[in-house]
Amino acid sequence: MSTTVTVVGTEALVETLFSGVAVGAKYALVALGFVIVFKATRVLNFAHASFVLLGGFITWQLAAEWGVNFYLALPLAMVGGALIGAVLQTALLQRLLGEKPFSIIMITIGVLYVFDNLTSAIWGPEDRDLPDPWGSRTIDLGSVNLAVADLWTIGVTSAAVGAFFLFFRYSSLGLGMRATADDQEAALATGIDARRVHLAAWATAGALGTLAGAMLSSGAGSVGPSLGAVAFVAFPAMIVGGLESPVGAVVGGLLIGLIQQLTALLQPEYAAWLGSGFDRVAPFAVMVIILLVRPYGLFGEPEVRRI
Amino acid sequence: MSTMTLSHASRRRGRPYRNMTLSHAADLRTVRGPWRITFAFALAAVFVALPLRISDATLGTLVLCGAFAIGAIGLNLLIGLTGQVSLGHAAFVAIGAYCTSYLGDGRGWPFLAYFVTAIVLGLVAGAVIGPFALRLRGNYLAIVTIGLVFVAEHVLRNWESLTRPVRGTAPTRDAAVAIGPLDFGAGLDLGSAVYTREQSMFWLTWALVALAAVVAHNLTRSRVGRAMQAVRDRDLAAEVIGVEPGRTKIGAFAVASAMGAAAGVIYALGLGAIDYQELSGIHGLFMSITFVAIIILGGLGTVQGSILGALLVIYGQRFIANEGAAMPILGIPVERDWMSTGELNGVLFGGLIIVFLLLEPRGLAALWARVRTWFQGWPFSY
Amino acid sequence: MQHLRRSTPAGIAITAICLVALAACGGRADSESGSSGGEGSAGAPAEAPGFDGTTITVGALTPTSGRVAVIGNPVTVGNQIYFDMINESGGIAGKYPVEVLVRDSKYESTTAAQEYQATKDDVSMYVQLLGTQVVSSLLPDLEQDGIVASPASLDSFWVREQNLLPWGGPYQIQVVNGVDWYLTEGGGEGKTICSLTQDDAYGATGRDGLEFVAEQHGITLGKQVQFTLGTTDYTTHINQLKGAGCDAVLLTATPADTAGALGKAAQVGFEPQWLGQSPTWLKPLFEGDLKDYAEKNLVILAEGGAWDESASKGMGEMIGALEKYAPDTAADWYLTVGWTQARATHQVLEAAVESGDLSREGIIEAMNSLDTITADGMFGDYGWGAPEDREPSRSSTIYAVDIEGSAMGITPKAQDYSSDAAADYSFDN
Repeated sequence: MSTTVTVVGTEALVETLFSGVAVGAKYALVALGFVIVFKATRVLNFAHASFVLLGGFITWQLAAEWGVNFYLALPLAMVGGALIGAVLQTALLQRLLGEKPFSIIMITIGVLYVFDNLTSAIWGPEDRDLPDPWGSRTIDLGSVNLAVADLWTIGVTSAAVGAFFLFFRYSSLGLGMRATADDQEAALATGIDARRVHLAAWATAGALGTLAGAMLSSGAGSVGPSLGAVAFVAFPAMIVGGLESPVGAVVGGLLIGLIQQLTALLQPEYAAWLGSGFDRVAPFAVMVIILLVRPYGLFGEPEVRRI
Repeated sequence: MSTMTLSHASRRRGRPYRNMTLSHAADLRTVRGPWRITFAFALAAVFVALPLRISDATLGTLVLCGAFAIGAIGLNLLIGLTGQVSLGHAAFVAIGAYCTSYLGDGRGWPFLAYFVTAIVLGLVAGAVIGPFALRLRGNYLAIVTIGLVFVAEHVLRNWESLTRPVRGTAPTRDAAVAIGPLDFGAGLDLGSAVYTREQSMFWLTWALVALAAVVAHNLTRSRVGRAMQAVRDRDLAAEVIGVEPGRTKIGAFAVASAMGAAAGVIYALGLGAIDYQELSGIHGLFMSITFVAIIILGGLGTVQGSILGALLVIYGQRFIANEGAAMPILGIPVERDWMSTGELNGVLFGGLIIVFLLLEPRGLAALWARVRTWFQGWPFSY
Repeated sequence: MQHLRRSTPAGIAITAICLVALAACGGRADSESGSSGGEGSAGAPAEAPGFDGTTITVGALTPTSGRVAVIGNPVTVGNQIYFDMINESGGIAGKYPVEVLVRDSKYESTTAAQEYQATKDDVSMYVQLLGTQVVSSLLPDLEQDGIVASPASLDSFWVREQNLLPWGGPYQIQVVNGVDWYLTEGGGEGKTICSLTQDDAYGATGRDGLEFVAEQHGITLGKQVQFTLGTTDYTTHINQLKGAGCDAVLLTATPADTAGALGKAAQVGFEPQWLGQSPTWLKPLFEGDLKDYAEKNLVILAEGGAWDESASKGMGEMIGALEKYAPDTAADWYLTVGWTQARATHQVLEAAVESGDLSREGIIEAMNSLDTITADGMFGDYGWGAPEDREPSRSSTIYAVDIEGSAMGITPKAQDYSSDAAADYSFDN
């Protein structure tokens, strides 16, 4: 059995770069939700993967089963996601405000298990197509094909980042979040209610997770139990950018996406000894290397601790 | 005996009150007081007699509980005692499991040889991962250890001769489990009484659990254990008073990984064949999370908590799988119609974690401590 | 010390009480496959594991939750509706109804091993074991306990195993026949054949078959690309195939990955002849935007006929039973798999009842005494006998995608195609 030698052409390279940005935008969207919660509440929310999963299914339920127009279904689903996040915060996390951070992480893991299995029980374990308006349409620039769904993902992610930037800079709630994240007691002293801030953070994370779930299943993707697994690859994206920086989440996501796709293209040709499927491990390897150099991520700030 | 004066009531009774210790030697004893000694004897009796009373299938599950208990005891030393979060424990279990299949089943090594090799490899692996803990803390360390299971998956997937030598799996059935004349793998044969493999493996596993528990307990009470707790509480202050946090953290990782590898050996022997997709990758992450859930539900930092947690989680899942198929829980039919047992198990597992952390964050061990204190303080139990 | 001396006798006393209590609690509930075998009274089989004199119990270890449940559930339904149908006329030999004991294996060897231990004493045989690695890891236990099981995956390994009751032509045969069809009738003469396969044991079945048929025809293969289950983006894989000028691609994957890869190929305008093995197909995923691309470029390599009552006796019976016992279940190729497994199990149990021995050994003997295991036309007949003599069906059906025209979304393009290359494939491993 012989294999033909493939020269990596510019066409393939351009398409890979574009898909790297597209995949990276998906990771960035997921990572953004994580970072919002962490920045405001210092909680590493493992249940974010289930927001992504539930979000995809709720969007599917609205758009496919109940026939709502996709452009309306998506915002509605995001509202639903925000509600779920808010309920989770009031019912559970509020009670644990003083607990050790590790206990809170375990509770979010518990929520992850519950939501994942409930989703599978309600909707079934099959994969299904999301009726998005972009489908498999592509825009052809010469011999390079760019998927419309991917372009929309990139656009939506940029819009979300822009919105957050403005929100944190200029709105009072955003300012309140930053203040609470820096020093909760001082913020309380100036009249910023930590509970409102936490509620807002979790609701936003729920909405962002839903958006990420819908974007991940659009185009060539599908809605199914595997949506949650993508969220674990977003961990390196978050870490690389720094756990507290929304800008870092986006930069990290794009970086990881690009590295992953470039590795998938180039590694089998030039470094086959690394084994098959190395592109799945590459994000984690990159994460480790970056952390060794900058232990708080690219945009993170070192923790200040009382001794 | 010391010259301490006993109270009037004690003199009348002829002995000191309850578990009062009168000398340093008495204080150092592992099992103190009449109640604990009795309990120890009762446990020993149960250990010997249980396999003669219950079915092989249940014994198989209890062997798995034992494997998870050993791993949890090790992880508790790392997370509960030294405060280093690790979500990559499944990778170390994989080391032990593949030692069993490759060396024990594939190459026919004797039990002690591959068991010790597994522990040594675990120690080495832990010592290699340990330095990460020096550079990273808390959440960052947790996420880097997640990377461990994914890297392990990549390595195992590409190392076909190790992970898939026989028709896509790595069998461990033929691995020898014999210590001297006692052959646990084929079933003990003591002349007059012949025991099945499951019964023999139960005795071996829980003897190892007891050994691990004693090691961990003694470690906790030693100088090293105190150093670990100092690192957990305030590592900079610990450094000031002369504890070397670097060496302590690396040592903790090494010991935890060694115990994880030992757990992996028992796990592999209990199952008969191992699949790398369950020990690494996303399912490996779930296994690591199961370990963490065990020690949190059982009680962070306690040895008995690790064992109780393992029994609760592993046996509990099996119990639901067995009973759920037969009887509808809360009127909801469990097979096929509304929710399958796998999904119910997942929901209950998550729900249990949430409920425990809300109501008793310090786990089963603390729950037991509360009950015990109530009885000890009776009739002044408030 | 005083308190120690006083508590040691207490400790020993309590130990003694515990032992006595445990002794009184009764002995071990199970017995080691406590059947005595042999004849019962007046030719009726004696009681045996899984047979209490009136009902026969068979087991099914299948994923009812998790990603693979989408394949497991239809197979289980197929098992159950078959037994529902024969139970109406009394069951095996008209006398003994069959009950199916379903346990969730979650597609994991760990869980499957535990469920096996929990159920093995309650079943006479297993009508379904799903998952190549599950079957591989349970095989030593099956041999030790002498239990027969029917695997739901089509691996060539199963052919020569005493304790396995395979059905249908293995994946390797599907691939050999499919590629042969492509080269002779599918317009593939002189074209480049590549492959996109999963990087595990399942993918290896495709690669093995491809290698064999390439050797038989003396052709060199094009680019062989592997991917990991659950890959999110197929750009690089499709680019590699496209850049290598592939005219046909053998696809060994599961439904979600198939949809992902084909979707990406549609985007970049890469249109080879996709030859997908049977597990790649799941109708709901191809009803949307991928419909046109799939109908044009995808064929499925499987076995059997059309989803039509008149296609074969078995198919007619199954469609009838489906309407009667599980009307809410959608049409699915995997129903035929479950049905065929149950049909094969029926034949084995019937032979065992006839010989009056439903013990473990009796079932194996009965199985070895059969000449053929038939699937009533749904799949090719399996030449049976002792393991060395077994002869699986060597024909496959190449299906074209036809979403509107067929309830299961695929319709036969070349039915019961058997090539010379497939005839030469050897299963002695």
